[in-house]
Amino acid sequence: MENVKVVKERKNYRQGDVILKRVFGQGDDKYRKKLGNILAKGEATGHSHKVIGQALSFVNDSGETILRVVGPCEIVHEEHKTITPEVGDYLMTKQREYPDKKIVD
Amino acid sequence: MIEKYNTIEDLIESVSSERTVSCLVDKCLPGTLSEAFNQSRQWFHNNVNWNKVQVQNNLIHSLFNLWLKNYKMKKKLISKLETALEVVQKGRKVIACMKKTKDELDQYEKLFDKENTKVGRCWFWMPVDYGKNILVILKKPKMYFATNGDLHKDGGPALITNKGRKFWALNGVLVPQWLAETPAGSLPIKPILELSNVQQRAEGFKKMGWAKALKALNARVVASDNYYELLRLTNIKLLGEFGAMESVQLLKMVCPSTGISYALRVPPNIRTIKNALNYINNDVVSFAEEV
Repeated sequence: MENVKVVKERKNYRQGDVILKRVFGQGDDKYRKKLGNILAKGEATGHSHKVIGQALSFVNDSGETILRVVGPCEIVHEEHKTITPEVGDYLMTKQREYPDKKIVD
Repeated sequence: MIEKYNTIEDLIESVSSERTVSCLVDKCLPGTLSEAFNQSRQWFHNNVNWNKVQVQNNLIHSLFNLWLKNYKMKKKLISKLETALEVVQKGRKVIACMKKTKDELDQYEKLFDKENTKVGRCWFWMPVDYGKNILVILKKPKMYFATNGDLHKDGGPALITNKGRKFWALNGVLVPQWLAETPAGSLPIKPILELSNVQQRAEGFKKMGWAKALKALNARVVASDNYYELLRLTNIKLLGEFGAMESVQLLKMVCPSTGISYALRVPPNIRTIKNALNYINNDVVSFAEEV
């Protein structure tokens, strides 16, 4: 029997300053604080990174934002092109700049 | 009783006795308005779905951003929605009417007389899905736009509300007053560099002119790639990680989606584009999609 090595592929995505980093082992979301479908919103433009489709976002035990994609899903933005993350869990972070601070846009 | 709301604050105050606004739009007005109202509601369901939001001081800020972005679309809606919208909040209704006589308003009021209805008249309505599905109304402010529809005025406020509140914007980006009103030739470079908002900073560089700005910063190219330039600024120092003044390095980049140039500050010891990108991307090094 042929040995098949299963490798969990880490596909990450970036839309503007929003980074979706593939993560594993986030557990059940049943009792987690749910967030809306806006991942991030620009202060100066009002533009938003919005989730459309079969996905939900919640806060994990570490206080981080997790996007759980369970089916076809798009992240849309008024200016950036649409991204279509695969099924899986993603840690949502923002780009940063020096000295270590999240980007404000 | 007919109530007139001139500002968002007035309306919010009138529909919400608590700090949290959560409204549901669940009924249509009779006659031909129903279709238009449904279109409006459908539009919001398709385009906006904010979570329950606290009413905060930045309410207008958030609201009009959203509104302005869809200004053209809303203009089409306005032409169809000639008269009224209904807002239901905790059993109370507010009907905002446009270009209606007092008699007509009275008729509307009678329709909902038994249901604790408030009727408001305004000259311009602004439907925004705020909270769950609240629609709020704003008397039309004075606004200036660029040819592409972005809120924009170089040299003065781009939006003046009826209460005289002013907002400054360049190419759809809200900016500080000094950035909008200072002539390009007189703009100081350091305050632009110190703007914490990346979009505002980019507008500052754009207004001043990137070439002139980089010359003023005495920027030296350390490394470059298709979309990126790592720049070392030799005549300016800013606060660093440990509170000391440090030399400054910027990663200048062109957004692949928008074509707009941005500049992000990176640690002064970085020497390659790759390391600079790793830094700003929180050490995420590869992307299946990057737009």
